[in-house]
Amino acid sequence: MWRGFEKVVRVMGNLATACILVLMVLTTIDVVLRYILGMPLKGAYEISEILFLSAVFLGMAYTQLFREHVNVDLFITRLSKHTNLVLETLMLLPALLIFGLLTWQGIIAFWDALISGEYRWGLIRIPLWPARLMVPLGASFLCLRFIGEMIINIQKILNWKKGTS
Amino acid sequence: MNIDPTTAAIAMMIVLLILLFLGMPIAFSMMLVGFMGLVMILGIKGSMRSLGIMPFNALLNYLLSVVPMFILMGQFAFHSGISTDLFVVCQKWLSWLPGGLACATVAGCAMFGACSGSSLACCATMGKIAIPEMEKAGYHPRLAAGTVAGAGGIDILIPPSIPMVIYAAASQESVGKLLIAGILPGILSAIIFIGFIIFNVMRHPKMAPIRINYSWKEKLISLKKAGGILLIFTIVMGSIYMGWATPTEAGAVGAFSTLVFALIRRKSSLRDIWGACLDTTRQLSMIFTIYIGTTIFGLFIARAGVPMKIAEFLSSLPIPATGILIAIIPFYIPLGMFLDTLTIILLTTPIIYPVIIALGYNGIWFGIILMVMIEVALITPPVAMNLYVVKGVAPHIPMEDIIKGALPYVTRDLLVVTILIIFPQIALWLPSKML
Repeated sequence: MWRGFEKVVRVMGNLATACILVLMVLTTIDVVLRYILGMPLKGAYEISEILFLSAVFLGMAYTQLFREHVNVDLFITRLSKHTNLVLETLMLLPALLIFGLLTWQGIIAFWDALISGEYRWGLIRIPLWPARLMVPLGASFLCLRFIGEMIINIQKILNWKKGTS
Repeated sequence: MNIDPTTAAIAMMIVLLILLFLGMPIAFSMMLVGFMGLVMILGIKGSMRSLGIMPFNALLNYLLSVVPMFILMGQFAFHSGISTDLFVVCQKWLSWLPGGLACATVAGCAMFGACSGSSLACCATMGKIAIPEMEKAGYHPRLAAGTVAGAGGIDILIPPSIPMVIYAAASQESVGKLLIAGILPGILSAIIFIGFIIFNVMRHPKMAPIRINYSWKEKLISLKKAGGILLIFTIVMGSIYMGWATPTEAGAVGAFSTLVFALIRRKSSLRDIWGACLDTTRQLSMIFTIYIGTTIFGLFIARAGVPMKIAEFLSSLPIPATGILIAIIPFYIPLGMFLDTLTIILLTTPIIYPVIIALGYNGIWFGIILMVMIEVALITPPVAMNLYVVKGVAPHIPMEDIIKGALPYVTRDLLVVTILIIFPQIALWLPSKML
């Protein structure tokens, strides 16, 4: 099951990357149209903001998959491998707590935006609920990833205990 | 709950330090601790609402979308193999100097900085080319590795620069002006670094035994190779300088043209380039998860009134502004030894920036000084990314030699800071001419 989950996270990472590339191409086209043909793309500015935000949130769990959310490893690298693993597993709990809360509050904010029909006012009206959805989407997948890591770590710790006894 | 905001702030900072040292990722610990602090002073209901809204509001900001463009540009430049060409050009022009290859490395780093926004890419790519060349010429490994690690930091001053955009976002200064302001101090750093290399090699000629003089014809022909990247740099920075395009627009056009450039040169496969894009996504998410964390933590610190209290205290001291400034700057050295660079910028700017403004200093100028201190942070162990990157590309050189080679650059960077304090015009003249 975790294999399947990992695949979903990888797809999200690829989608986030697509957002960045679309942002690049869209902005380039906007600049070219404006200076050469004198007609800017309507809403390019607002769409850029939303693409950027989506890339960040869609990429969160993907970044965690590679362990690239930086930490200070000055102290923990001096611990034994096993202590380190236990500590790492424990540290996933507070992380799970805050991103769990973020998912919950993000869903509320998304729901409010959907019901009230929140818009971004620019040259064209762009509904904000899809962007609001990115917050709980990114945060919840990060939570699932934390849970997955915890299960894997606990299995490792149990195996190691069996091995020594 | 009725908790005195200052007590809450001190308590939460201690909790933050503990979590950081226990290895919890920086972004997550700042979010958690900031949220806990908000609960203490705003109550649970208000803080929950903030948690749902703040990450979204913090990121829905057009200004920030320049960051992925700058990361992409650096990645594409890295994969275009342009750094080899830049090094060859600098080698042809500077090899006649004492320690000429090291001088060429410094100049190459400065030029690579013109298409890349992170010093790590610069160290990695220049290290791969310049270190073997210097070793072949019999240079001391300390000089070879130290130069790459020390000079890689120039990338942060020469636009495009990711740390500068992050500072701009945290301080609300103009991104365009900051980027332009970095150009002259970047060139100044390169000249100072080269000056020190020549001086040291003249004193210890064994450090760099070989000097080669290329003919003028060879020098001029080599220039052709740097043409492409100089053109891209001129377009990107020129359009920001002239006010023709926003930084994001200039960055997007720059990234796009660097991509085209990389595709034409065919030094990397499409697969590698897609990999570089995925890399960009992870860097971006990493940076902006920290950004969200510091936004929440920063809100708590601001609500607790910490920056105001520090600013009031410092400006009430019977010391001239310069004295306070000179007292603040050294604090960045220990911070740089233990924290990652973006965290330093995001954590200190909400506290220090109001103080700097209250003292009557220019925020753009302080941004440039902060960037030089970030260069120092990149080479001061134990947390010193540039050193590790150099070790990564030259694993046979002992860490001790890399550290000993890079440490003199701390003094050289501090010399740059001193010059900038005495002559702020070096940073402020170019942006003052902007529209």
